[in-house]
Amino acid sequence: MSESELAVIKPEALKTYIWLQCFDGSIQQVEEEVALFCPWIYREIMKNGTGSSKNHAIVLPERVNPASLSLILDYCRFHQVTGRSNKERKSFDEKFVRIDTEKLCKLASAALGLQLRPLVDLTCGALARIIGGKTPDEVRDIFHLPDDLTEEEKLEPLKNINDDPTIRLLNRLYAKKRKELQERQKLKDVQTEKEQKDERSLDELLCFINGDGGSRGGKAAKNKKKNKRRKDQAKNPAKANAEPANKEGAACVVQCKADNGNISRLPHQSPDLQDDIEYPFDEADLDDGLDPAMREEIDREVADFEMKLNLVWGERMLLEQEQRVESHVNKAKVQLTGAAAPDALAYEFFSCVQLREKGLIYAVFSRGTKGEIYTVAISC
Amino acid sequence: MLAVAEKVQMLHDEPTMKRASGPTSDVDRLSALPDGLLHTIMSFLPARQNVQTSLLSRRWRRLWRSAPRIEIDERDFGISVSTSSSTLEERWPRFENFATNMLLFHDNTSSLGEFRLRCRLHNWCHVDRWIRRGIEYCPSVLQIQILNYGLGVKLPPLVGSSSHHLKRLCLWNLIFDGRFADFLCSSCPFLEDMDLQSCDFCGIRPQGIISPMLNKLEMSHCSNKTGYPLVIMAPRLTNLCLTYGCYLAGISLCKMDSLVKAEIYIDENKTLSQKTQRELLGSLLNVTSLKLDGFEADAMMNENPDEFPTFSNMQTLDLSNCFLNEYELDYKLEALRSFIENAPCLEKLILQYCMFMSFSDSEWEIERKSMTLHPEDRYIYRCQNLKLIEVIYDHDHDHQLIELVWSLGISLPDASIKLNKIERWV
Repeated sequence: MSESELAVIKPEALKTYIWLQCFDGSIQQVEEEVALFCPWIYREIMKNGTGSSKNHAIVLPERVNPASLSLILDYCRFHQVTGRSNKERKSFDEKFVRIDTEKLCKLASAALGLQLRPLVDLTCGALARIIGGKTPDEVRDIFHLPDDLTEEEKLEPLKNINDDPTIRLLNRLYAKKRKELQERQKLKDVQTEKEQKDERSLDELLCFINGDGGSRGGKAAKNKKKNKRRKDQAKNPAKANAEPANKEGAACVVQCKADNGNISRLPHQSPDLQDDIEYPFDEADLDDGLDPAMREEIDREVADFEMKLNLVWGERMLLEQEQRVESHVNKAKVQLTGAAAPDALAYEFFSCVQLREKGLIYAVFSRGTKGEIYTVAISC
Repeated sequence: MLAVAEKVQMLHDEPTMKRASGPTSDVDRLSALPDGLLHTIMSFLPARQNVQTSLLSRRWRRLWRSAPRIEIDERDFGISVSTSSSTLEERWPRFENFATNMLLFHDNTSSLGEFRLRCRLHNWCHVDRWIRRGIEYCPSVLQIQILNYGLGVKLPPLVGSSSHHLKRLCLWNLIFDGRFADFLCSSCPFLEDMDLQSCDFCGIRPQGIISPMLNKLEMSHCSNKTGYPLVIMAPRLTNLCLTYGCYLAGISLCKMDSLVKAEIYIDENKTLSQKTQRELLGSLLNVTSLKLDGFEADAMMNENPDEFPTFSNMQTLDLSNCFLNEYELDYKLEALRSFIENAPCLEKLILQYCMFMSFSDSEWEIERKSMTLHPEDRYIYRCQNLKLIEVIYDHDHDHQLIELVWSLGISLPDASIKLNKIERWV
């Protein structure tokens, strides 16, 4: 019979079949319309003309194993029929992904290989539903993930803290002064704008970081203990902080708007505080990154932070920090543009001080291209 | 030492130290998947869990930072419409911390696929920063949904260079000044889909939506607060949906050559003036399918045959809640006739809850006991292709439905009329 005659009759027995070969060599045949439902197979047929016979089977990508292939073909067989309602399709899909996780992963991978996007989304959604709402231990159990984040790694940030004498001193100091500041805060609440409590304590904190690194130049007059080494910084932070807080449009670090208001306040109220603040830094090493020596480009490892994960995953998470040590890069360059800053300013984070308190607040000191020193705080 | 104490505590919490790899049958299939698939999985999880995946294993540590999608939703933190202000005070700081830090550490700075933000304006300072940051990511899909029920926030200036990837824009509750129009016009050459809800166009300059590639535009409850008509010029627009809002200063559609489907819902007193309604209808020349809601007879009455252009492609006309004012049914039908006679290709007409109010104003109104219908007065509409008229109603008050159906039947003898009773408020 000629082809045209065949086409006209086309009984069940003469349906066109496509031959597919998996990477392991097994060949199977499948109805044409089912196979064409997969974009990848469709393209192969159109481009190379293969698949029409056993000898010229289409070789499927490696990630498609025979088990997944048969599942995919079942999926295609169902969905390529046009008359089905959305409800039917949905219920088929739901049943379809009720397989064990291992098969599900393989299926997702195979679907990706054949570029069958709806099936990729379906399988990934199912995997997400399995992962969702579980603790990391549970997820590791289900998927047999290696628990290869060592305790040391997880505790690394804490180690760094312990090693730095400055920070230890600061910790103690902060713990001591925190109460005092909070009490003072209650008095100030009426006058100041409404800000969240978190930020408020942050400001206080910033304040004495700045206070040591550069207390307001003008206000320093009160403090007899003011060292010469702090004079250069004294004026800069004052100006520097004023500007970015107001002008920065697209800052990628958080700056509290209330910075300025609070920073200038504190020295007035607490000359004692200032004495105390400066005290540790008088004794501290020069490589704490806060003194003018930083201008000589002290190489300090910049740690990245991961934010504090919330209480959902247990108490451990509350305290857990991960600080990534950028060993290959000592300074992270960040490009900032913003509406009020038409020229891009490059900031170099060249040191950071991590302070320990329940809220785990980090202060990062950075220097702009013009040499101004900014203090930026991130609270976790 | 505080730090040491915590370290010890952590060790206690995790009784098993580094876990030995399990039996060989427990192979980790999940991590063997390519990054793209893992990112797809993560895109189904809320943002918080996305970040938490970094604790799973080494493979997952930095994965969330390169995910192609950032979605920040206040609902992940238990903040919803019904949250009391005291709970809000408690939950908002955590949400704020999360969002700020997440944006700080996310790596995918130059080609993010999607950025979605949905929150209220509890702290303007931070929300503004997040919006700016999101815009900087140059996403393909930018969705900013501010839920402040009445207050809008001014859209931060969108610096031109960052938006060449932008394909879909969805903005809720934002205030635009003249710069937005410039931005759309010059910096989003590939924008295809725009969805604006409750947005306000403010300022003293005339504003507009001028976009070369825009395909689909949806504007819902937006208002034009400039003194000038809002100009919409989108030569590739195929789908337009204008829902309520306030355009008393005017709105004008220009160059709608590609428009296939248009839906316009108005509230006669607030949305558009009558003149604007007519102009609007006049500019929808090429539509194939038109849906109008809230129009009245005066807007559609075409006394002068040249006043309305010919709707040469219109095949379906769907009118809902139209012709509901106090005029006589005859006048309303006259207006309808004059309108649809301009659509020679019209095949299907749908009237949903039109022509009469389905309830009576006064309780003691007596229903008519008899009705006189005069066939000889009827004018036969010149709509050759109109084959189907569907009338949807919920309550036939005072037998007005009968009058309507009869009038339609006489005027359009070739069309079949289908009656459908569908309750609106159940």
